[in-house]
Amino acid sequence: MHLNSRWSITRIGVLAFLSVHVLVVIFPFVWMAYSTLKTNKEFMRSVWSLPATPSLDAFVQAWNTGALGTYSLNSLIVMLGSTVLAVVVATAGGYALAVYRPRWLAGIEIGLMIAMAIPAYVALVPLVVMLRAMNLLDTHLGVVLPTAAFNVPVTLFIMRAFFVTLPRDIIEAARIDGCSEFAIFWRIAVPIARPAMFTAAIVNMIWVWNDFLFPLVFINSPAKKTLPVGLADFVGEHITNYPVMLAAIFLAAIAPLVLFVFFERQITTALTGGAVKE
Amino acid sequence: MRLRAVALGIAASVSMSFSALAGELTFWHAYSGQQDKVDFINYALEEFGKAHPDIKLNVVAAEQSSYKTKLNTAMASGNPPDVFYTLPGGFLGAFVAGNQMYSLDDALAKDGWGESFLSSALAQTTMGGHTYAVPIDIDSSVFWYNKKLFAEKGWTAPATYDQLLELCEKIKADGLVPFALGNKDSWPATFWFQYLEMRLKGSGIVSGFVAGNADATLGSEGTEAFKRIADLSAKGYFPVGFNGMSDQEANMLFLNGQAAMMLNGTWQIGASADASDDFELGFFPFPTVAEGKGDQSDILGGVAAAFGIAEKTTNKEDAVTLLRFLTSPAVMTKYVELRKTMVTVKGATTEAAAGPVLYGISNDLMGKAANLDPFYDTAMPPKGTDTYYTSLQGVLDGSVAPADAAKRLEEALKAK
Amino acid sequence: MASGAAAASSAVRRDSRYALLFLLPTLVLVVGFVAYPVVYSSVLSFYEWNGTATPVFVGLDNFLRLAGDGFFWAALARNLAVAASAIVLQVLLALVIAYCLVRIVGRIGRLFLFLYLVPVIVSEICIGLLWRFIYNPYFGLLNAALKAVGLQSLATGWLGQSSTAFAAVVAVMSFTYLGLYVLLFVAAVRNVPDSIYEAAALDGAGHFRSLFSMTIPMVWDSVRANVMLCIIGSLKTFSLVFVLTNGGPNHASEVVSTYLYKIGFNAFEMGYAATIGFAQMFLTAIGAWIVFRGLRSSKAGRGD
Repeated sequence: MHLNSRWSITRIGVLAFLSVHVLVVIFPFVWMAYSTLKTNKEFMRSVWSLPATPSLDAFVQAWNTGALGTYSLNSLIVMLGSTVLAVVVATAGGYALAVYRPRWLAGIEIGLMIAMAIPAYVALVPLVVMLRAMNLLDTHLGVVLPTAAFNVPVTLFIMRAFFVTLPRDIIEAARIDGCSEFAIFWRIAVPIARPAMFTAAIVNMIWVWNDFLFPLVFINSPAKKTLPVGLADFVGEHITNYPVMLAAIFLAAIAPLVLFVFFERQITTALTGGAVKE
Repeated sequence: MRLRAVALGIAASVSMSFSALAGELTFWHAYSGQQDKVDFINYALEEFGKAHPDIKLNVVAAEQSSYKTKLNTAMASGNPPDVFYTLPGGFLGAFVAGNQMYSLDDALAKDGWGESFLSSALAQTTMGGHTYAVPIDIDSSVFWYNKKLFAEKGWTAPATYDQLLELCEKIKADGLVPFALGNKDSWPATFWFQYLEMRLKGSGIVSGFVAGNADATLGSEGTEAFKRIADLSAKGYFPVGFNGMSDQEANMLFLNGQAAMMLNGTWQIGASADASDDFELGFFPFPTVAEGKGDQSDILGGVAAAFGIAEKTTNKEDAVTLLRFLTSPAVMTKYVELRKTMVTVKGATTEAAAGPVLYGISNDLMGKAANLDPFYDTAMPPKGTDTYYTSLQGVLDGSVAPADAAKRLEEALKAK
Repeated sequence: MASGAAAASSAVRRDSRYALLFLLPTLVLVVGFVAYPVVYSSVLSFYEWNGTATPVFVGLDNFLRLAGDGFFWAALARNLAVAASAIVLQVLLALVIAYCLVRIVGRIGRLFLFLYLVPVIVSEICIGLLWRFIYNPYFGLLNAALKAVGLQSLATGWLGQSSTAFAAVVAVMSFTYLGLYVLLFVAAVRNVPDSIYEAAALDGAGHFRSLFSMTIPMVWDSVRANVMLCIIGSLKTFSLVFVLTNGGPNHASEVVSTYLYKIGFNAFEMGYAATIGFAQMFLTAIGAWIVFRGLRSSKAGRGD
């Protein structure tokens, strides 16, 4: 970039606009951060003021009340488990939908489209019956399987959207070279599809990380709770200790944010398939 | 023959390993999310462990609203916990209708356990002559006021509804909000409707519908009660945007002196703990309504929570032991002390444990009330509650006419 | 000719066989954990069931009730409004922001990206609680800000008025989910070769033209995927509505999921809840189908 473009009017204008916008997006979290240093009494009296005498008591209480470390670990297990499962399954499925074209595929496509739109609440009761029969209630696998299953249709359509852009000549050429269909998928399609798979994985991870309903209903043991369910325990029916609740949220958010800071380069690189330039 | 015996033995041991073992119980409760609840259940379970080391509890806790989702799903999927927390009235009624609840009649008849409860409380967990859960605590709704603010401004607690309206004008003129109300979750405004209906027509209206009385009706008083609420709202006696504020946000207005009064449950005592040091909580009963046909001393109060046993439970003996322990006078007095909430066990709401405010309500208001009328929204079948809630929100914001709201509610109450 | 037909039919057989093989894991998972429970539940839509007692067969009563249920149709219309607003306020805005971050802002774009992602990682229940304080009519920041700039006449109880509650919720949604699309678009925009922009710059194209006539066509696959994500997300949206307004006042901000939840889990009408879910499922699927067809670019067509 040459000098006059570094401080061009456009750039300053855009920076100003984005700064204001991001401030609005981020302000609640700044407020959350400094509110954790107050007592509940102080918070109740003036919600927005800075803490008069900052104290870490809320963090201590948050840490002692909920097993936040355990919850985070559980969330991580469920998140990775269902993300990997959903992405692997959906990559194969998306490939089939994009590359092959028997007539019955249209039926599957419609079926998956309906499946994509199913509200989880409708399936809740039969899922509990099923998971109990499979002895999977109150296990992480019992959360992973239905979560992945519910995310597969959308993930699959993301993957299909990628695979339809795959030039068919490549596939035909490989077939003529005598490659098996699996080899074409595994050696040609999957390596090219890595950025799309990574995109699908990011989307899945974010969904699962915030998912509340399935872990709430399928998990009973306190030691197996995931983070969103554990955090819900900080909100009382009539009385909430706000600084403690906010401290718990804050602690819960630190790990993923730090990870993102460290791996931002790798994440965006993976999303673009390594073609980063600036 | 011998082979068959072995097979039976294996089958028996297999089925044993699947159902709860003797001496083991699953126990679900909603004492979570706020410190006083957690303190109580920790105390109770620890003491239970000491008293009954042979009974192993698998405890599952969730906060009230999450808890309901969890319990309803467990019930609907035919997998209820052995012992669990439930709401009285229509909520419990749905489980009873599905034959999911174990009748506690025999257990209550033994050793005077049944007699240890207030009969008005037991009535709220009794259906068709059978008691299906033991009531734990009683919430009552009264007017709360900011004593210091009232003293500064020279206001006095009103005794009649007209005095209340006069006071509101004064408070409004001073630039304050007369009543704190955060009605996002719809139940806070129900106290207004119910008290007005109780004062105008009398207690036991919704209970009459639930019991299937042919002559049960809200009467023209239903419309009148909704009309008065619409009127209070139109005059600006409630905070701006109250239908979108939570109960806790409204409470902040009250504790910070921006609102002068609040019609709310006895949990207000606990919710006032974090007010500034010079805040002093006062209370007065809902004022009398001059032309009202109800007994003007009646109090809105009912069972907040109860514990029941699932019919499917194999280990009913230990389940009863757990309930008897939880409702023993010592544990219940501790409940009052930790939660500042009245309990259903006679004599357990002691002055020492309750503190002056709660004891005042329990002794002066409830002790002298001609009737206690349980909360409409929990007493009525769950199907009607949503109609009740949304009609009331609509009346308050002017989008539903009082007469229509009364008609809708009456229909919902009559529907089986 | 005959051998050509034989080759074609063997290709068809090959396609059928491999398509099935590659789809097998998907089918196992989706049929087992989505389709089966939903079919099981949809049977309930012909019954009246309180969740515990024996279900009572009521034929098409639930569907007739649904047809005349104004609350449901209004909720569904709100879901569509959420989707429409999300396409503009989340996907399109995210694309513009991503373009700015990559092409104009430069290095500190990474900081912005991080900040936009914060709300995505914090759970929605918490975000709802934070925003409740911003909207609070008495000590909320929004009204205070309006007052500070002399617009106090606009100050109101945002979440409590029927007229503003829904818009207030939609605004929170647009701030909350934006970051995910910014992240996905940043990756896509970075992937556009510099030479394209250089050519555009030589032509004297400004950023505006460069964005709309160069970048968007280049990242069209991302646009399509993100639009789909955002539509599906919008039609299923639940948590923020639940925490911010609980669908009130008097159903003024109700969406289908919150309505379904109230009917099924508060009112214990599991049969009717299943009917609502059934209807939502089909209507969403039809909507998604139409949008997909519309967004299918010529490049992405099946080419046959």
